[in-house]
Amino acid sequence: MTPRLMQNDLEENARRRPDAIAVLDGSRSISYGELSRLSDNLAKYLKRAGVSRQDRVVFILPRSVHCVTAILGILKADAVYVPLDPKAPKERIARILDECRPAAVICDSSTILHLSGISEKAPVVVPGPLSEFPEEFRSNAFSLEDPADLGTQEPLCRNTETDLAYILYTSGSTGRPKGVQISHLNIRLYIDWAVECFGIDPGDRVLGTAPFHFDMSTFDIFASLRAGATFCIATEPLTLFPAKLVEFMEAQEVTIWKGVSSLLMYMARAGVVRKGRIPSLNRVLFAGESLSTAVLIEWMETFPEKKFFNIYGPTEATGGSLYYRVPGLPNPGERIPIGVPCKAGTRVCLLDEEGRPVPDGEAGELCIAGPSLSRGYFNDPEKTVASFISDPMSREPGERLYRTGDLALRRSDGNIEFIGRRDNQIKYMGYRIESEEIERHLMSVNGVREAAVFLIDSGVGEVQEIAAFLEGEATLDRRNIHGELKNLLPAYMIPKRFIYLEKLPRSDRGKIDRAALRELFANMARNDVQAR
Amino acid sequence: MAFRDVIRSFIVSDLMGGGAGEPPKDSDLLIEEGIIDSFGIMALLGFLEEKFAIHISGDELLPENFASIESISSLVDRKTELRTEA
Repeated sequence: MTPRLMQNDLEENARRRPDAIAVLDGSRSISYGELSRLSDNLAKYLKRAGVSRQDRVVFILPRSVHCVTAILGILKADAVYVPLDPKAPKERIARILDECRPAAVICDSSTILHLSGISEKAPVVVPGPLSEFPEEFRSNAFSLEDPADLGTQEPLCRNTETDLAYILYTSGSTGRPKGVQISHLNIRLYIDWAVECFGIDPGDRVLGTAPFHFDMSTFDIFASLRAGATFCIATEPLTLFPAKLVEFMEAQEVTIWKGVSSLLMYMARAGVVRKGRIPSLNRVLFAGESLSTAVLIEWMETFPEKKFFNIYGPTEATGGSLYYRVPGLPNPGERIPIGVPCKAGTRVCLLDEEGRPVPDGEAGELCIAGPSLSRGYFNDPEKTVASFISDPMSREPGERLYRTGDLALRRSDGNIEFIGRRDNQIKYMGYRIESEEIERHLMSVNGVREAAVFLIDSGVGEVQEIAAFLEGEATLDRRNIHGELKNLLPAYMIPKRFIYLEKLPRSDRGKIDRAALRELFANMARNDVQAR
Repeated sequence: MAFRDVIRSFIVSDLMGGGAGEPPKDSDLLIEEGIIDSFGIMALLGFLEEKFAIHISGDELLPENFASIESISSLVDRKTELRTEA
């Protein structure tokens, strides 16, 4: 049987409606036919440059239609795409490059500067003309616009469905990012469900606000390609200025949006959620972290005609694993459920600390099983074994369970509610962050003895921010600390507040007493002590 | 300290990691340079509102008002003038 690979959706639509717009970013748009041709060229070039099946190919590009071309070209070359954040610190980028050893790199004249020494190690592909590319890197580079003779044959795909399509790097508690490996089949099962559940069709215009190094983008790219819809990429400046984002949504007549909850909150805070706006948008999916009920009520009261869905799912289980259609205005005190499992074969269970299922209404760790699970972390069997355990409930040998670390309970109506974390992971702007990763880096700064990192209310709207409690020498300078972190961690992981204490409170056993620190912060906030 | 220096010092310490590199000039383009990103804008908003006791609405949350230290400080100027007139 021919395997069904994610690029097949592009080819299918390129045959049926070659002139339909596949992707646009506000300054450039590209048809299905053109996307097919350009990604073919890229695949052929990659293969010619020695990329073979399941090699990793990194792309590091500003948000644009080129990212989608890169993704499809890499998949067509039988390779695995690894998106990198152009804004990540050089050290972090270097670490990921070191670990995934890409067989080729796709970048542009701005992002090549983040990849020190890469052009000696791997061939480089640029989306624009080579003449705009720094001269010193040109010798080992190829332009996607170059009409070089690559032949007219379609590249031959040798992947199977369980071959990897991408690796996404997320925060790891040991200070080393974890690469989540996702296969074509993982994505397909998610997209099969999403396209049907949300009724996505060729008339749809899918708004994408999530970065490509973020799991949320899986929906944007592949649901659009499957349905033959138009994927409308909002560039980063748009997500900074909600009024501009709304203008873009209206100008592009977007119809469906899966957005991170913090962006919905930011838009509400900025006062752009107004009656009569964005009339074309009829399905709003929010994900990435809990959305405050008050903000959801504001959205729903303003837009009673639009449908709202809460989507839950860790990167390790590919996109969404549970979903909840918000049936009507929630009560202000109500927690919005994450709902019930979606996608074929997905099962969830709630386990206590001994691994036994908890009764309904009681909190347990949310665990996910089924064919959407990642095979594990790239080159990290230890972490893989810790998070993907053998399923105690399954009679099938080898059936695995992914432990999300999230605590949840099942309500009497069958819907699941997320209630918190069993460890110190925090969710900030949709990003998953292990607080230990930040703490480890903080403690590497000269003069810092101990650190404890929290997510706290910023005191502005519903916005939260990361704060660090530090124990250390009295001479610690926050600018130095901030400066050092900036070299090691992406911006979203850097605490906005630093609070110095002579000694961090500890429990009898000598562990940092996080509950006492929370209490302390709440008192400080109440007394309006300036912590900055 | 003039508004623009207060704003500059916040940008240097909180958005640019403090110390490293030259502080931005009044007319440097902060968004194009990537100094203000989606994390930075929220931190900056919170800072401006708290520090200058103003409220910045969505209609004012525009690229032209946040393009440079100059434009941010003239937004703050306008907002604080309004407050004293009121």
